Amino acid sequence: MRNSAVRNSKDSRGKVRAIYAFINEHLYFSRPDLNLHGEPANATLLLSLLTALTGGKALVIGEPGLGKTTAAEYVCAMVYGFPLGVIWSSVVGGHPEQTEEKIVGRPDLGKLNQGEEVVIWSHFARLPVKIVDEINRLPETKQSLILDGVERGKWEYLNQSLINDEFCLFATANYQDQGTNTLVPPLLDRFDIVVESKHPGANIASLIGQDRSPETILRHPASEETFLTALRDGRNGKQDPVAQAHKQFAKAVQQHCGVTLLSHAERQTLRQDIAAMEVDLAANAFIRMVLSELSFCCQYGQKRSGEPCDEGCHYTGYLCYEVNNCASNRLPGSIYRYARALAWWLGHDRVEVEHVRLVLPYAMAHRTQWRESYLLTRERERRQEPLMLHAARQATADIFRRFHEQQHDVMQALSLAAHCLENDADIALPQGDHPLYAEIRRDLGLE
Amino acid sequence: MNWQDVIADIWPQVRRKHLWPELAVPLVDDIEMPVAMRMHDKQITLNVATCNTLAEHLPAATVAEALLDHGISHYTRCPWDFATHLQLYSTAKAELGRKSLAKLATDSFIDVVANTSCVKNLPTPIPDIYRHLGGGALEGALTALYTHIWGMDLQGSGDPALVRRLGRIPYLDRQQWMSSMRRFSRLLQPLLEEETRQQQQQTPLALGRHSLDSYSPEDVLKGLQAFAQQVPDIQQFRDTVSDFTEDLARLGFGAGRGRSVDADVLYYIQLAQTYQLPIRSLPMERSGSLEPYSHIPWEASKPVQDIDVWTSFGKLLPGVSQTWVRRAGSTYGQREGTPDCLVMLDSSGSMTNPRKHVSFAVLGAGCAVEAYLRREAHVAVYNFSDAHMDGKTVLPFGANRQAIYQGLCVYHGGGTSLRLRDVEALRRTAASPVPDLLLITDMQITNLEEVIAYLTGVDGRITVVHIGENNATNRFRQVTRHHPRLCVFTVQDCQDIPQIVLGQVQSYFAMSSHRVASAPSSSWL
Amino acid sequence: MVNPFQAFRHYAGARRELPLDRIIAQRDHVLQQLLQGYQTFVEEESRQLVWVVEQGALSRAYTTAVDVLQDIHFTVEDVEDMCTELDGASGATTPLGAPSGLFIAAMCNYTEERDITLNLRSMTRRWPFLGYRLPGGRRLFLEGDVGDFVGALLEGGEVTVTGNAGNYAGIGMRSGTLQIDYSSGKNTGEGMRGGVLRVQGRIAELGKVQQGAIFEGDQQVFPAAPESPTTSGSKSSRPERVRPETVQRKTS
Repeated sequence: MRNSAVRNSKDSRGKVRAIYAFINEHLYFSRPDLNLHGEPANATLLLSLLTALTGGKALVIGEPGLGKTTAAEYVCAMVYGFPLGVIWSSVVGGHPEQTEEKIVGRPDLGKLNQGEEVVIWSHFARLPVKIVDEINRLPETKQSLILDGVERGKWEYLNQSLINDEFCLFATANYQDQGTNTLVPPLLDRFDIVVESKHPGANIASLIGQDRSPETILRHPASEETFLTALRDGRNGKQDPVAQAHKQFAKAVQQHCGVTLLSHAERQTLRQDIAAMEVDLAANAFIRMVLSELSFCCQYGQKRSGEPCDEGCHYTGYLCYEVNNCASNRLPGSIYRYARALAWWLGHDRVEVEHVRLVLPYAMAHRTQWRESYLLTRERERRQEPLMLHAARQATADIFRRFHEQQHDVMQALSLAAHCLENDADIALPQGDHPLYAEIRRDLGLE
Repeated sequence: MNWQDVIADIWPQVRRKHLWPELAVPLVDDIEMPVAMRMHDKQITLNVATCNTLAEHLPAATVAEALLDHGISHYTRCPWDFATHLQLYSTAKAELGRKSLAKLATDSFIDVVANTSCVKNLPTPIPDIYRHLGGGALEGALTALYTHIWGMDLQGSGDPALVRRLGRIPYLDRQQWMSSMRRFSRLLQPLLEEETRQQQQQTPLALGRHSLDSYSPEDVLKGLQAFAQQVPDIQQFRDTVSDFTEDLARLGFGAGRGRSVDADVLYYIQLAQTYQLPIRSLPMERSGSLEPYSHIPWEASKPVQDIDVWTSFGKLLPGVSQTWVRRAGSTYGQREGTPDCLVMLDSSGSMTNPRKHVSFAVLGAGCAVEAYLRREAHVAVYNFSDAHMDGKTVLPFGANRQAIYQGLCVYHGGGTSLRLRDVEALRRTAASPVPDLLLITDMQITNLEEVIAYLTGVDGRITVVHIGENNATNRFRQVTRHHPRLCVFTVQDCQDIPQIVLGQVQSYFAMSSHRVASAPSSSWL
Repeated sequence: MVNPFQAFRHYAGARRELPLDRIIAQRDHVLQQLLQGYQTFVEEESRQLVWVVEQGALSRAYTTAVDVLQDIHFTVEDVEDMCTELDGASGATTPLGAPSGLFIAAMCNYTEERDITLNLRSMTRRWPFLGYRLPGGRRLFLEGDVGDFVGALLEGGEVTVTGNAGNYAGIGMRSGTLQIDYSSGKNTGEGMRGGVLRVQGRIAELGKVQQGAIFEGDQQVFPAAPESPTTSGSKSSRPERVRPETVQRKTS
């Protein structure tokens, strides 16, 4: 049984890697900017793929026309087995006149006039693929509406509900430009990761547009028609015969592209495998160090926006001095989700420090409000990504250095704390300078 | 023996052991110097000759693993970055007095820390190679030290008393590295001098030397900045950095290739760059138009023209129909350019000589220069003492940072008199119609009345920073009290100058973008 | 309540225990004892106004220091570390001139090693009373400059100062050798009752010497040699030997 589970996992991984390779070679041209154990990868594509697989929420930023939306569309089309035309029909565009009726659903007007409330759900709500283009152009209320719905996987309208059993969210945003609203921190915090869709460079960019339009590879008018009809017929929440459409599309992709798509069952199994991945102790300790540096304050108990640390604080050398806000409880969830997914992708049997370290900048960049002085220091440094991602990456490197020096002491302290709590023994905890030691003392009621 | 294959085999497990440092796959090559490895900007290269020699005694994989453990620990443990390296070197130099001794002492200390850290925390064959490494008296003493502190017989030879003393240094405590470096240098001094005398020229340690080549230009820049902040005075910065001028010039620090690095100018540049003003995002202003924003239920008393028919399901019922809420749109405002700035710096005899001690007047001027240059404005420098007697340095408007700082660091040291004709002529050459003026002085100017008359009559914004209180400053304040565009700051302590300058320039930038719609500092989308 | 540390319950660190750890721990422990002892000594003697330099008070203070050091097992390296620690200290353990010098002298006299070398070159303070009552059979090498009262009441030991000495060098010496490679200050040899005092450089002023021998360079200045043009207490006409900025260590 275990062998077959392992074999199935390997098969699924093989399929997912084939999907990645296909998109990378034929659809989304990009430069590799990550090094995963010697294997180059493009961060945008890989993290989008992991988002689709694990049901995460990704914020993709970049200059106009650099493939933010198309990357998400290709990934979702191949992971969830929908032709591009269906994906396009579900994309929500960001503009101020978006309404709940356009995003979630509307009443069936014919039946409404007869006094019956029946909801026609939008494609956005029904499909597991949720793409919001230029989310920062939406009013805050609509941003909140989408993010709340995706968080719970449940959409409500006129006292009726629609539950998605699987879903993922991709939101794209340009940098600040004319007519842009702000993505406020509470909304930013709901995204698991942020990633930049970069310019691929002159040489790769020159290849774009030379051959036939890449979208045609994933267009299949016959199955699109079947999908849309099925969605229309099942719009009142009844069981819709999309399974047939999925098979039709998957067969077409297999024939034309040589790629085998994942079935619904495979996706579910894959998610369970990823969620069951063990996290090794070093990675666990590293995450705790990160969380302590992003939330601890010796003066005020915890970090709070609007309560900056004074100069000369004892912990000046740590990140808690450089940040203005407190890390939310969504941060560890995002870290674990993507670190596990990355470990699964690489075929490792457990999550290690390296996986966490690779994922961490993307998970914390949009959630962290830095001191001006810290940003200004980073601003002048040479970098290959936006300032916030660069600042997060440098912060990760700083924490990692401290972890590298102190990992044994930290893990020893955590071990002793475990014994303390269980046995209530009077064990002297090792003293240390890192905020995590203070957190341990607080948890043990010693401070 | 194909060493590259050996490395390819063991590299994954070595990387895992060190928690995946961000280093390229190591190479193996012939290295002219008699060292075991070379490290250049995160690339480790092993010397094939050393590898072959050690392989006569040990298995190839052991040799490669030990050498890689040593090399990697320099990145992950000590010295980690150029700032730490500079501090260690500076400490050694202060103790030993000579560059050659200080470099050898620093290299030795770094090796001891890196090796000991490896031996303590990881399974490593580093001790095995030290049994066969050989070397002179210094190497012998260090090997004897390893025997003492690692508890393994490595067959080193050294004075037992010296080894005992060296063994009491807390190498693994980063907080005490500087005091440890001092003690280490002091104890090893006789041996270092003996070694240098016998060898005629400095021989690097067998496992490698640690120079600027190990760091990228960005690492070097960060290290210089951190070091400038940490040293108590400019002399120490100069003493240390001047030992690296050739390497720094090669990396592009300084006035260009072939020209030596001016350590004093470098000091002020690095320090001024640590005082930084926030750069505001592009100013947004209200467009004046209203646009639909969101829905709220319509109430009977509200006007009907904003009802959204579509979302109201064709019904006109209070509480059911939806009406639009409109809000003012935002659009780009006119982006105000930043005017150029003419910096007038007093370098008379009553001011501090910036090349002897830290001059906070020069530092304050540097802070203002950085703020203007970063906003793509140009800066001119009028450094004066007794300008009528030609005690002045004039630099026209430009953006050459090095030249500007060179101009600021000139010390004339004579009397104090400002030649206003020069100032006006220079001011008129600015590209912006009304440049800003910044005057830093102790106000003991011979022709003060003329200066006051000039400043009160000239266009543009003027900031005057003066040190201390005297009759001249009181007179100046009194006359300029009601001037709408002139601000005067008194500095009680020299260290206030950079903060005052920053405050004024910051408030200037706040004024220039006064129509900014305030955005949270975290907003970057 | 959930135990947030449960995952680490069975963690067993893979670190090797090195002799370095033991050495540093031992060193820190002894240094802590010595600093506490010094603190006790200073508190005790501050009531007795030990910095009034009067022989009775000094003798009593020295005895107190010896008593404090009785139960502490220290080595000559601990003596050096104590000097370094006191040199950089402020606040509660600020070295207070005479008391700190006496304390160090007591440490030198009671450490197990017979030969003691203290590198004072890089220290900011000039310790007084070094070599106080150094007994016979012990040798104390002081590298660098020292403060006043070096070798006071020497009891047969050998004290070598490679730098300059302050005033009252060799005061009350009974026996033994005090060698100063450079110059000494005023009242050199005051109350000296025996032993040999050699100053390679200049003696600023001789004190009231009772017995023993004092040499300035190669010349004996006490008891004054009959043919010598110089008399006791007068300055030598030899050029002054000035210590260079950087002291070169003598090669033996």
